[in-house]
Amino acid sequence: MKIRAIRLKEVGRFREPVALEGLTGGLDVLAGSNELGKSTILKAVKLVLFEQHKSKKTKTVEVLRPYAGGAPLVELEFEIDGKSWRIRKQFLAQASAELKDLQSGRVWRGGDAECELSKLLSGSAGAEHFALLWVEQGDSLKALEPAAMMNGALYAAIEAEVVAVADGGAARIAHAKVKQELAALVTSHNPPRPAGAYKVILDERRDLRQQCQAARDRLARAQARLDHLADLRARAAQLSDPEVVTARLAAANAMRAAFDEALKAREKCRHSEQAQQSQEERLVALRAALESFECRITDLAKLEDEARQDAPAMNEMTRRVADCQARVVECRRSRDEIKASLDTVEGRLKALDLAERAKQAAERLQVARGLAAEHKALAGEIANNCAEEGLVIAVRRENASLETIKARLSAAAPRVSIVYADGAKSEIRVEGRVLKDGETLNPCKPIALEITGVGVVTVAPGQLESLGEDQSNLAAHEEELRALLKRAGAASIDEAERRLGQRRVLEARLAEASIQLKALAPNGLECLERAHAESFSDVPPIKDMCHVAQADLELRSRELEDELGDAERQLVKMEQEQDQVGKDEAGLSARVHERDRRIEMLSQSLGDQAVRKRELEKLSVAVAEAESGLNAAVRDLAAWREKAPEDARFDGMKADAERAEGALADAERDLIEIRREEAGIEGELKADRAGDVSACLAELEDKLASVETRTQDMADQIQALQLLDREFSVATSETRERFAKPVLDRLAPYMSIVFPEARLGFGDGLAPKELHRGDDSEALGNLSKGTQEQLAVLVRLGFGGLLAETASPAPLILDDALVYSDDRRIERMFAALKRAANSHQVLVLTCRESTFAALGGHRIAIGAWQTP
Amino acid sequence: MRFAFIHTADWQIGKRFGAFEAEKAAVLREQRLGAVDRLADAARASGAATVLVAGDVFDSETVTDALIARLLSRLKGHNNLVWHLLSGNHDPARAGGVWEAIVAGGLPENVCLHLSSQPAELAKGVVLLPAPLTSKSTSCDPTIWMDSVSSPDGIVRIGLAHGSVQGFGSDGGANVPIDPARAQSAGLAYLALGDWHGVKRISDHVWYSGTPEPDSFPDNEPGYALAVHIDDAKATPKVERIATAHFTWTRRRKTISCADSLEAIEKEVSQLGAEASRHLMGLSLAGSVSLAEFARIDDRLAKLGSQLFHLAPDLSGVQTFAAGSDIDALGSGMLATVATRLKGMAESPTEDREVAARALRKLFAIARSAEAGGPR
Repeated sequence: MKIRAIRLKEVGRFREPVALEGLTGGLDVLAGSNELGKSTILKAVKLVLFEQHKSKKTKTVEVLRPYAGGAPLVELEFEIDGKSWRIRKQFLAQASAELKDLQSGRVWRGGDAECELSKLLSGSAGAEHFALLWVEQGDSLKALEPAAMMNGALYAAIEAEVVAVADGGAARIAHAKVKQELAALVTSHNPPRPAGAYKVILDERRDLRQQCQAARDRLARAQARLDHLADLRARAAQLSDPEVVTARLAAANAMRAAFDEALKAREKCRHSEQAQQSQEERLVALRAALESFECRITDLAKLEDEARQDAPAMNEMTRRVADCQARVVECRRSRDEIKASLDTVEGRLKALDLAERAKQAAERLQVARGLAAEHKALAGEIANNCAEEGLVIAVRRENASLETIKARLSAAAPRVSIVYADGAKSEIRVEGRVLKDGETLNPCKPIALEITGVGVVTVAPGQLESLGEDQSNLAAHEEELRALLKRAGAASIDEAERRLGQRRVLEARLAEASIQLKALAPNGLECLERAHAESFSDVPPIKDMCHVAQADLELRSRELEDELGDAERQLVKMEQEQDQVGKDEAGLSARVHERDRRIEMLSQSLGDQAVRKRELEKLSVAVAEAESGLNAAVRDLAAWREKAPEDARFDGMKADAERAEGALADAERDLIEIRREEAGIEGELKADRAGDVSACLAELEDKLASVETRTQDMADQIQALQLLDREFSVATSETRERFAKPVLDRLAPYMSIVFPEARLGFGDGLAPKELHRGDDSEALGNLSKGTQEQLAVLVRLGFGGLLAETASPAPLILDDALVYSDDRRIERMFAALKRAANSHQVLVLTCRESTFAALGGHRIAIGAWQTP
Repeated sequence: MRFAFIHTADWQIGKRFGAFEAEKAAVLREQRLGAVDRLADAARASGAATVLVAGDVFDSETVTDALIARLLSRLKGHNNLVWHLLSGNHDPARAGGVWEAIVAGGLPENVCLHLSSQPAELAKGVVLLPAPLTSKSTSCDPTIWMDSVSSPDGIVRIGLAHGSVQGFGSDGGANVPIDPARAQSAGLAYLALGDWHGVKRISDHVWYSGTPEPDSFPDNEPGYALAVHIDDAKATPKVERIATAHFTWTRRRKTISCADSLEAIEKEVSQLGAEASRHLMGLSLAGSVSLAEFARIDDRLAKLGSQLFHLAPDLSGVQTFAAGSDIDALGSGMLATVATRLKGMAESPTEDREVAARALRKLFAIARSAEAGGPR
């Protein structure tokens, strides 16, 4: 197909009718500024060729409606296989379509026009979108994005033609159907996971298997219950058999009787053992008593001999004790005498000391009393002197204020100096007083100077603003000063100062007296008086000791202390000796006493000789009797032991009896338990029947078998679909490869122009994947934008060349498709475009007028559409 | 002593038919009870007042009480008949089993249970020797005791048992051996057997009645009861089979080469007329057909199934191949390419040939669907 003219009205920015006329069908170039409408022209061409005039794809159509509204009208004149055609379509409002054979004049309208146009564009292979190739602004880069996205653009552009040449899209539809059915059964994961109906049936199978297993378990339990019930009934029958019950009872009774007999014999045997033991004990006791009696007689005789031997030693011990006692008494007496003398001397010394202390205390008291009197006097003087510090300070302050005021007044007051002239005869008087020569006056108020024989001179102070105030203050301060002086008891300030000085002196003396008094009587004078009185009461009368010197007393005291020490040591020695003798005597006495006590005790217990003899005979007889009794008990015991069973046998008889009775009880209990269990099982069996577990299992197994079959069938179907999918993919790939080669072959010349010694590699979906230069490969995404767009255009040139050779040539429209290319590359691209234009139409729309001037080709321009 | 009775067995009351869809299963279950009425009709038509049921009255030991009640109610409803029920391997007479529940619930007067090996008088001069099963399987012949029980001369002795006659090769469900010579050794005029679901004569005096209502696609002849007429103790009994089935279960096997191979079956079904709705058919097909023919066979089977109560087709024996015309029909291009490759795989002796064959069928189905313009 070759486009000869493009005419637009109310399309995009073309509100008014415009036209591109005179396209050669070779290399046609429209160069113009931005917003010329170049992209609109391409969209309009696609719209008129591929959209129905009544299309509902509002986005595709609306985008071409002018902003101000309108109904896009597009007309295209084109040539296919040498025949010229014109298609005109109006979209949106008053949609219409008209196809005209420009040679025969035949016209098709509406749907007929669409059908006929579709047939024309389908070409010999009968596919859509066959008739046009294009690269839109920015599309070239999108088309070269990685494979997943590339399929959407380049693949869509290429595959349709591939498919169109192949088999009309049926394979694609079939493949899509296969994928759709597969997707309804498994996911696209690797490995695929069950989905949709397959998952449902797998779940159903899983559930049924579980239910079957559960049903089998239930049935097994039901069967077990039946088996168990049969066992229980058999056991119950056995337990309740009358003959068996009777035999069991008889056996138990016999066992019990035998056991009771054995028990009785063992009891008798036990009693005999006890009797024998008792006899033995009695014999032992009697023999011990006889032996004891004989021993006591022997002991008594021995003790009496000892007593006779110890008598002289006792007497000697008594004498020694008396002697020691006398010596101790003597030593004590001597010690006491010396101690008394010493006490006397020490008493005298103490009395002397007390007297001295009392004297000192009296002296302190005297001084304290003096100080107290002085304190009192001073306090009285101070009380009479009112010239306190603060008061005098106030006086000073008042005086200072007065002086200040006076000075101010004086300063304000005129200074009148009296100077008589030599030989003056008159006198100057003021208020009757004659002023002396050289006297100075500072009147604060007007004064009249009387000059005798002359007149009166009145002198008035200056007019001070505060004169009146100062004068009143002066009076106030003078009044205050007088009051303060009066309080201080002074007539003048000097006197007040003097009285203050005196007061200070008094106060100093008072403080000193207080300190001294405090030192002597810290607790007060009264307390000191009391202490003094007490100390005097301790002093003994002086008159008995006045003739004894203290030194002599002290010497005598030391001598007596020495004597006392000796006497004490002697006494201690004697006492120790006395203690030792005492201990010896006590020990001897204790032994004698103890022996006498034992002799007494034994004599009393044994009695006299006759009594002892009788007792001995009695004991001997008792021993003989006890021996006889023991022999009898031994014989008795032996007899019972023969009758009673030994422990093991007795235990066995007991166990047998218990077992037999236990068996009776167990049988009863078992029977009750069996009945109870039987009732329980019957209830469970009833529930089993209510659920018909056996039939349920059969039903579930049937269902499971069916589901297994369906599952297997579905799995087989999935395998088949997966195989189909793979085969379709392989076939598609092979088909693409088949057409990739021709594309590559057609692409090669262009590649040699722009990218010499480079080779383009395709990936899935016949999408350019990488550029090979020598041994290096670079992914398309990593190439520069300029290289990517150049490759995009070249690929379309390759396909255009293929279509031109194999089907029907399709025009290629480039809408500003080379915006990133440098000068050198663009030059080469121009060479490629020129070459391509030899086999099919290349329509270049560009905004780079000067750059594309070198492209050559036929320049077209947008003009007015004369007759829309 | 003339005596007539109906010999039946294997009622399998309570069977669930889980392999069928719910509605059909319910109908099939109901017809098992319906067989009782038809047996009663058969008895009346034969002039018999006694019905001997040789075991497997119930399909399991755990049938519900409600179902038991329904059966007893039906039996009771035919109060001119006496029903003699024997326990089989599906419903053995054991503690806690179904029979105990029945006894506990009370029996109608015209129903007799034979749960122990004790002779029972059927009529004056006729004694029944039942050999009930008390477990699901046993290695002992339950009819042995019949040899040791004597009867006065002239008494007609009829045996009733459930199990597998040895040497017969029967494929019954019970693993219970029965000596086929028992009738002779025990002096039985007739030995009524159950377990084998089809009618089968073992000898003049030993028969299997089969189940009165078929319950599966048989390799034998189910759906009958036997009307037995005994003239005296030593005479050969006259045995007449009476059809009692509501549904007919048939199994057909057909080798096919094309869809038209189904013509005979279709004709057969067509000739059934209204009866087709009471027909179940298990149809096993085998052969090798082209893909196009396979699709046509599929269609015709669907049509056939709609006429029958149930059609269970088995196409596992059918092998499909892609004929040249099949591939041609796809046109040239990728579809044909794929089809050719799959054909090659399906015809190769590899593990994947079945998968390839199925994939090929799918491809053609999709192509046909696309051609027809609709989804498939």
